[in-house]
Amino acid sequence: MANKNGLGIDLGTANLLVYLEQKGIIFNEPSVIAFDRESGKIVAAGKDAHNMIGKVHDKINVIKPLKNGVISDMKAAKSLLSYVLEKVENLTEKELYNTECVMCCPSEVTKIERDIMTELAVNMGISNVIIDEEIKAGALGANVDIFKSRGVMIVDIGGGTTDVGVISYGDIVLSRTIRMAGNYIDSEIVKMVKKQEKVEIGELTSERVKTELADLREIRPVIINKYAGRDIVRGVPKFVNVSSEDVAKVLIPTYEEVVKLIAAVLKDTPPELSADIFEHGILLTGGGALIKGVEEFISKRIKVPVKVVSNPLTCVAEGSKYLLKNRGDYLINPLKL
Amino acid sequence: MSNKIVKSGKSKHKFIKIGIDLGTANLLVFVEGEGIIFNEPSVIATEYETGEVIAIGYNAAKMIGRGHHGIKIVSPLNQGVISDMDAASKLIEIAIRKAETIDINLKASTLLICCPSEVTQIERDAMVELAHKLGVPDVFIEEEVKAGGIGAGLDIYSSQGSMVIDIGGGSTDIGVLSLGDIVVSESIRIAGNYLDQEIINHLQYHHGLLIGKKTAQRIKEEIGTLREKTDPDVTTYANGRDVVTGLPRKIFVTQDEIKEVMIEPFMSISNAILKVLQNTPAELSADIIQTGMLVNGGCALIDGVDEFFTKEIGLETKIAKNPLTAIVEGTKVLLHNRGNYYIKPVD
Repeated sequence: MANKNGLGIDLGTANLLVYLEQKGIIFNEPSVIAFDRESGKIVAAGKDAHNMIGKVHDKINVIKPLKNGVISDMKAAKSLLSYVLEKVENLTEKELYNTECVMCCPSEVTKIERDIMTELAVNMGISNVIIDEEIKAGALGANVDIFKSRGVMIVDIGGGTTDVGVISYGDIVLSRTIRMAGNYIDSEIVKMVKKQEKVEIGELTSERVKTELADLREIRPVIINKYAGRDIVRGVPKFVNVSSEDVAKVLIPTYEEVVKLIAAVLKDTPPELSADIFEHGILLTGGGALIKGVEEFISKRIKVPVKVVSNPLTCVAEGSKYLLKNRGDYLINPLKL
Repeated sequence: MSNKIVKSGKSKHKFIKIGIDLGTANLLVFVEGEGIIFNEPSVIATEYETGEVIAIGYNAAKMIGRGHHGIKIVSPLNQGVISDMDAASKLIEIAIRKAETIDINLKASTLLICCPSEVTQIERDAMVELAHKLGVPDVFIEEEVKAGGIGAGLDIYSSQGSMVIDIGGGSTDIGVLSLGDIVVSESIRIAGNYLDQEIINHLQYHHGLLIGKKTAQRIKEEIGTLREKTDPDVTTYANGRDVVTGLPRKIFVTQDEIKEVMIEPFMSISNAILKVLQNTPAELSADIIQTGMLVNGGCALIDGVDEFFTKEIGLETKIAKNPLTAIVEGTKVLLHNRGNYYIKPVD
């Protein structure tokens, strides 16, 4: 065990997090990679590549290897991971061969999509790979003991997907996924600004609009910020004012969908677990949990207490360290190891 | 003296990097370690019969419209591209040799030639051929907007988008730059020479006076303006030949008159700018509205260019500090990284 490296990978649509045993989280940046079209060489990855979105000339190809929670571009995903492992941690191929790896995926991906993840790891020279659900890892990362006979509900609102799951005795009792999350909100904001103001804004700008103005509280202050985009009629650059009310108009329908999903899962939950959930509340993780007033919004509609975990962005990667210890086996409680 | 010998001895072995801005109006040559060694009009005068070179640069430009049968005066470039290969190669060769203190071995040097952004492959090949004709084995071609942006002090290697408008002699280049390369560009062949021609036409039709290119250029430089408010007192003279009588005549033209002539070409330029902006990705539009546009090239020196574009486009417009030499100064940087967009050269 001593000479084996343990690696936990949270390959999300928005962010890639890599956890290395004994080192902690070594990489936490957007899952974006930029290639040179001609030579195929990597120009940038992570944050630097993210800054290039929508700004490149035709010599650079900027790729998001994941779409809606699953790998859509195998080659790019592989390059991104090897780039991180080689450049950041100097892991050689030989070391990778001796590595045990946990990869997290949304709970409702198909067998084929899981196989693709395994293939990705094998491609990189990692033979020992486990695929496990993000919600499980997320709960563990948020320091919840899921190995007790107590039901826990986790809602993970990520970049590409929203996962809702009920966990008891160390594994998932039931779960549901919708492909509506952070990226969907971004694209809705782009549509809204285009329709209302006749200005087209870029992907990065809409993401900024979301992080700066998103507010789901009942009583929210009206904030108006200035953003720049391109006038769709004249084509010239133009400033637009976007208010938090406009953003709320986009956010509310999306979060209503999330609430519907939670309600659907709760409906199917065995009554004994329902009682546990009602007592301990629903746990929110993922980037979508960072929006102001999310707890209030959901708990008001479901009538169940809602809590946001302390580390919504990193809990999946942190939780992977426990899954490395018990290899995803529900019988072994890694918290006691 | 000994110093010079050491230098020339060294240059035989060392690769010398040369950047050339071969413009329709001016030829500028930059040599690494020396600076700009040549900055004169791209005009060459040769003797008709023998083909011998009589003058280049300023001296040859002075002869425009004044030569006799024995002298052939050629501008080797027309609208931004090479039109006379022999004359162009001779001009460059003499320009490089003109700096007598530097012994440049062309067979062992790297040459960078700047071209307008929308020249065809054939026109680019002509530039490469020109270099081979000079005996330079290692040559690469880069866009003028790129070099101009660097030379004017923009950081084109960051992901912050910027817009450069280069109004030169033969062509106007408009480009949006990001991450070290051109994202959108457009080139129109309306620029300084076109303005001169418009002034000539105007005086011919409205005053019945035929003037030469040099005079038109002088009028443009002296009183040309694009400002909203013109000063009625500012006038200049124009000497030429009366089209009807054929006799020399002198008239006075007002600033207002010249402004009317120049407005239309500048409207075409601003339409081209709008076209580029329409094709710019939204994210870069957002950057440009913050940074504004940068105007480069000789016509940036016309009074009120910034005011005109600010009014027409609605974006902040800045004039480069060194509009005439920005491109050739930018070649210094491009020579370092051979125009590679992802290597940010550090001095």
